[in-house]
Formats: sequence, structure tokens, C-alpha cells
Amino acid sequence: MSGRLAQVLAETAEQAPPVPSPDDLWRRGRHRRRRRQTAAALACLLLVAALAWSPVRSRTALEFAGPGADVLPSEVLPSEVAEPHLWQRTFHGDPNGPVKLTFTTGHSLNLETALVLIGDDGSYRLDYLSPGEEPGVLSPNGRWLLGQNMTDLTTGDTRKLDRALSGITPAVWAPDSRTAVGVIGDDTGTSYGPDGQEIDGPAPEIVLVDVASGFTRTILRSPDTSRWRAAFSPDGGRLAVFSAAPGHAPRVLIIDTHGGEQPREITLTDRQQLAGPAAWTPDGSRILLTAGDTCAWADLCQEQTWHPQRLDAATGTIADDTARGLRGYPTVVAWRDGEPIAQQTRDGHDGCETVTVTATGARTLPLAVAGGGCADYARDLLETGALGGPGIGPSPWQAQWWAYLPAAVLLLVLVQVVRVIVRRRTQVGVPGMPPANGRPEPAGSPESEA
Amino acid sequence: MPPIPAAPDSFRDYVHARGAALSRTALLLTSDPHLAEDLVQQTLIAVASRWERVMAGGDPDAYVRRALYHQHISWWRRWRREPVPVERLPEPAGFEPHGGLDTAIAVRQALRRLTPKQRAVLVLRYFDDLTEAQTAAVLGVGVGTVKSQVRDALARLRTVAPDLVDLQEVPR
Repeated sequence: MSGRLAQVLAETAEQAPPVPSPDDLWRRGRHRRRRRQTAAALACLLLVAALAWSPVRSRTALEFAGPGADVLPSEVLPSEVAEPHLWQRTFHGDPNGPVKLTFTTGHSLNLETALVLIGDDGSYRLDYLSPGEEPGVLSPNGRWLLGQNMTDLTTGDTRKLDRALSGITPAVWAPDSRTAVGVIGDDTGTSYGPDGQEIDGPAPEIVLVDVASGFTRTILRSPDTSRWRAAFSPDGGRLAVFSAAPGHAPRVLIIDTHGGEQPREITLTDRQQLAGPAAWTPDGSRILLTAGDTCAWADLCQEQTWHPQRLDAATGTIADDTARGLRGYPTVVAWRDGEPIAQQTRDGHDGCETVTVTATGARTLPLAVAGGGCADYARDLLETGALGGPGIGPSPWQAQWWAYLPAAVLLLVLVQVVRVIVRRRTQVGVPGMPPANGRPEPAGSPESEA
Repeated sequence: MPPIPAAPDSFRDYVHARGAALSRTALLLTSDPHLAEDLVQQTLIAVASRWERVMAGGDPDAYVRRALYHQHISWWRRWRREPVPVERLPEPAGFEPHGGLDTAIAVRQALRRLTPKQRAVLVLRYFDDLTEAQTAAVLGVGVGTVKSQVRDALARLRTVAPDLVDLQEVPR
């Protein structure tokens, strides 16, 4: 067996180099072992994190439980709504309308306020607002957002009006979501004459907006829109417009939206104002006012309390409701079971409280929303939907495209680590070493041809 | 029953006892003293990183030998496509039966003409004196593959360095 070849191999091997220090080899071997163990631990952590963050486990899918379990999730309002992620997908990139509600947040990468839109399925979308831009007002059916122009929330398309609204004074929607009222011309600022005196510019116009055509129709010119409020009657045929400005007595004008009747004017005191965009009672006979008990509404006194009043639309007479001592600055946004729903803010208190005004006081509703100020709910849902659904939070996977880059890199690292581990574990008898290919060299390999 | 030495001590003892033999094998596999030193070093580092498992297996020699051969083949796979610039191709040395240094150079150059696996089977069979079955186990291949690799390797050696190979060792 050995012969000449074995002899010359043994002679040649005598010129072998010295063996490295075993202590150094041991130290480097241990270092490699620690790196291997760290990589394995990291891979496990990444795997666990990926599973924990998977869309399946996100809380965006509503699961309504309790007495109203037969109500469709899209008709449920969540009891809590959390802030969006910074990398949340934008509305224009992927519209999620119709939406249940919108709210504004400073939790935004553009360093400005962003509008958060919560879709019927609980999805989150962001709409970055320009400095000073108003977010727009949500239609009762949750499909439209009316600012300077109108946005279709189901498609993301903007429908230009024939004359853009100023967008400063919030528009008010009719209950059927087919008409709205807004203001044009209240954003021109103050003009001054050669002697420094103020010059009255053209009075702002109050216009009706037809959703189907995008046309506006002027129904009123009013010089005092600084505290402007409006409310459509339930059938949309009448419009109550409240205006109050320094030097002008507060008043309510009741306007026939079809133009058939002369407007009816009711003068108020400075402690009275229209209750909000849902001020008309459901039967259309009366208009809800909020009366301050402590001071005029314009004074914004800290200890303000209020009580509701009802203005008879036919006679102009005003009667007090029985509730007293309600606190804060209210806006009536809907009716539910014959009782008005008001959103109210209070000086010195963060956030916005949504309450039902009862005969004796106010009952807080389970509608807590993150962000600044009050949320804008789709009125239909607020009036007929189920309340108290599970709280919702944003899914981290509903992200803008760039947010997937680090996730993709992490995934690639994870896959690579798993591949290395699997390859080493499947070695034939030698962990950590590549498998031996026992087949003969393929024809054409460099050494086979040598 | 003697006490079991701690892992670092047992590894040190093993390297002292078997390191030189590994180095000789590595030189025959690589045909280059520097590469042989690197091969031994990388192999022993890998072994040290799993020393507890190697010891638990009960036969460190078998494990280390397999590791050495697989590391060598792994290197070849990685580097075979990288060109090595040379100014002038070396001339093949003739075989001097009684010149020690010349013989070593001639053997190393002849081994370089073989594929890594052919080199491996020759070293395992004729230097480590393993049987065909043991060689097959180390390389993780079948006995038939070992036979064919040995046959091809000897045939090639017979062509490039006929003085190294006895005629009867070359199966026809």
C-alpha cells in the first residue's frame, strides 16, 4: 500500500510549519463562539418581534363584543383611539374612506399638524397639513371632507368647487351629506385708508355647496363671521346661521335654503349662541342654544357654566331646558335617543369630552380620542352606530413605503442568519464546516483540466 | 478515575499532542507552508469554538481531521475563481530521488496538479494510512467515490511525476 508515494509524502510533510499557540487559538475560538451565540439570540429576537408585529395580531380589526355583537364592526365606534405611528401610511397614498372619524395630531414627521383618518375598518391614514391649513369637516356619512375644496375619502380625489371656500371658518354639513354651507371671503384681512382708518372690504359670503355638482350659491352676505356657526334643519330645508362680532349684537338668522322665504332674524344676548352644527332638534321645530351662566361666551372665562335653551323656530321664543351648571365650552354635534350629544373643552383641562346632555346634567360617552382638540365624527355613526367598541391602535405595517426598508433589511439579516445556522446544522458530522462533495470534479473545472 | 481536565487545558493538551501531525497533513493538502499554517489555525479555532461538543463526541481526532479537510475544500471553493497574478510561470521541477528539498518541492508541485479532493484522498490513504472506508467517512462520501478519486489521482500523478508512483499502485 505505502510504496514510494507514502515515503515521499512523509518526507515532504517534515517541512510542515509550526503550530500556532494553543492559548491564542482557544481565545479566538471562544470569541467566535460568543459571536455565534449572539447571532443566534439576535435571530430569535427578530423572529419573535416579527411574529409579535405581524398584521394578524394588530388591533386594527375591530371585534365588537357584548350586547351589540350582531352590529357590524363598521357601525361601531371605538371607546379609545390611539395616536398613529410616525411612519403611518398617508391618506393620499392609500385612501381608507369612508371614515369613522378624524382628529388632528402633532405626532407627525412633517413637524406640523397632521390629520388622522380612521377608516371604517379601523385603519389609520395620515394627511399632512400645511402650516395654517385647516383640516376640513367630515360629512355625516363619512365620505367627504370639506375644506377649501371637497375631498372624496373613498378615492382620495379632490373635487374643485367653482369658488373655493376660505377654509378658515369650518363648513357645516346638512344631515343628508348632499349639501353644506361655508364661507368665502373672510380671509382677506383688514384694509386701511390713506389716513390709517379701517376700510370695510367686501362682506364675506355665506354659500351653499352642492356636493353633486361642486357649485356654490350665495345665500347671505354677513360682515360678522368671527364667531360664525350654522346648523341645518333635519330635512335640510332651513338653515340657522349664528353670527357675533364686536360691535354687533349676536343673532340667529333662519334662512330658507331654497330661497322661497325671507330670512327670519332673532337677536340673542352675548351669553347665548347657537349650540353647534346639530342644533336643530330632530323634529325640526326648535333650535338648541347654549346659554352661559357666568360670562359672555366671547370672554372665555375659566369658570363658565352653561345650560341649554330651545329657540322656537316658528315664533322666536326661547325657553330654558331643565339641565343646569354644565361646565366647559360645548358644541352640539349630534342627537342620540332624543338627547343632544355635545363635545366640550374646558380651560385647564386637556382633551375633549363627549357627553350626552340629559334633563338633569351630562353623561360622559365612551369616546376617547388621542390628539389635540375634539375629534370629528361621522354624524350618522354617532347617532345610530354602537358606542363602546374596543379601543383601537394603529398597525405598524400600515406604513409608508420607506418604512419598509429597515424592515426589509432586518428580514434579510434574519434570513441570512437562519440560512447559516441551517447550513451548519446540516453538515455531515462536522458542525460549522461545509459539506464535502464526494462526487468527482465536474468536467471543465480548472483543476480537472490542469 | 482521573479527573477530567478543564476545557482550555484539554484543548491545550490536544494541540500540543496532535498539532504537528495536523500541520504536516495541512502542508500536503495545500502544498504551501503559509497556507498550511493558516489552514491549521482556522481549523483549530473552529474546533476550539465547539470544543465541549467535540470532547463529548469522544473522538477529537476524527472530528478535527474532518474539520481540516472540509475547511480546505471550503477554501478551494472560495478561491478557485480568483485569478492569481504571476509574472512568470514556474518551471516544473524534475524528481531527484536522493535530494530531500528538491523532492519536497517536486511532490508539492505534483500535488498542486491534483484537485483538492484527489489530494485529500491521497493524503488520507497514503499519509494518514486510513482505509478506504475511513477515508470515505472523513470526507463524507461513498467508498466507491474514494476508489475512483484515488484511481484518478494516481493516474494523474503518474503523468505529471511518474517517479513518485509505483506502477503497481496505479489501477488500470
